[in-house]
Amino acid sequence: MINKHKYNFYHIAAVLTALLFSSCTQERQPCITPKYASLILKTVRLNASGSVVDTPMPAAVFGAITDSGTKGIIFPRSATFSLSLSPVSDSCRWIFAPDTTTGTLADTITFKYNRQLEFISNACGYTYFYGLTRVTSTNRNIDSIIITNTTVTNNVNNSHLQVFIRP
Amino acid sequence: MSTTATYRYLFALSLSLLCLGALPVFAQSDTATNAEEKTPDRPKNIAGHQLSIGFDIAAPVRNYLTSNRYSYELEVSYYHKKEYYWVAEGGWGGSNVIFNDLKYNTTNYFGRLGFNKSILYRESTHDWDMMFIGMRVALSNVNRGDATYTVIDSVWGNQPGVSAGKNFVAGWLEITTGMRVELAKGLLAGWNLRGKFLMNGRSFKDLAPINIAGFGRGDKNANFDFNLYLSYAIRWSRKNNPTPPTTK
Repeated sequence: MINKHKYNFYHIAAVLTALLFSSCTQERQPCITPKYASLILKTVRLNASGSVVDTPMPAAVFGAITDSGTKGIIFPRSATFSLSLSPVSDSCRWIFAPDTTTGTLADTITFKYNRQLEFISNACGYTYFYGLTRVTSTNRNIDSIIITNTTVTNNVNNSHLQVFIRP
Repeated sequence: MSTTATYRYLFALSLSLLCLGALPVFAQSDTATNAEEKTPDRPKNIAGHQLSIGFDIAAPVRNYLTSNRYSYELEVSYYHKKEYYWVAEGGWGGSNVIFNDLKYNTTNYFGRLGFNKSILYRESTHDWDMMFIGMRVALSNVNRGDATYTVIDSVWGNQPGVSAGKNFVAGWLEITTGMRVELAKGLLAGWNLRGKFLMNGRSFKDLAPINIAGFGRGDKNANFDFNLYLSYAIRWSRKNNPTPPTTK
């Protein structure tokens, strides 16, 4: 009986030792959740019946006005856009033009918000979530802006702003 | 787990399984012998007292192979009666997290209390080999130093910062199984497999320690682990030790 126990012990210990060696290579786990908070805005218009309808922009350009210059992004035809807010201050500005191909004039959108430091995981590290307090803009192409959700997190399914485009 | 580590594990596991393939041969001869023997009546409390002190010999190997965490673990076990063993375990350890955007250190002590119940038939007063199942309640005091981090943003610029250090208490429950065999008189060896379930995971919401000695990853509510123990046992007889049963 004892010999059989010892025999089993040695073999199970061998399997466990194999697990031990394989588990010793500790690498950083991949970050599988969205790491950055995304501000989602939709371009909309009021239709004849007074309902709000999504209005795709043909080739919208957004540009982040940073200390080191403007960093622009050109989006393909869409009514939904994802922007980032600055983690280094409590406000930031983006320029917005609905259609670069026709050379439309640009508006400036100013975002004011509170920053909240968030630990996502050891794999992803820290990030900032934001609480929108005020959004203003110039009115070349933009009629008005409504904040529909003030909390900007890494949940990419939430929409935060409705940007009403002038007819 | 990296590809290299996976291959290393599969290689070692294959070797082990090849060796295990020989088991049925031995098992058949054992079965043949056992069939001729008549099982004796199950005796109760035939064993005396046993106090064993053990050390997890896998921990130093693991510490050597990993540069960013370490742990040490001891076990004290006392045979009560009816194949129940009271168990106290304890240890200490720490970890260093050094990533590009996150750096911090943790240290912690831990203790566990619980029991093992042997599920093997005891053949005689001298038979201390056992397979067992058991439960533990565990507590740990975790100290995390200041964490320096950088929120990386390619558009607006990186934002570095420091999250002040903290002390946490971690509590968890364990279920365990394992075995002990007596390699020489008083010298026991064996392993434990453990399933660990964190009871207060929300305490780690703001920065979960990457490793808690005795528990494992602090950012997971359940961990599995194993130990390889080498123990030394001292034994003494019960005052009214019943006569060991004889095989009929």
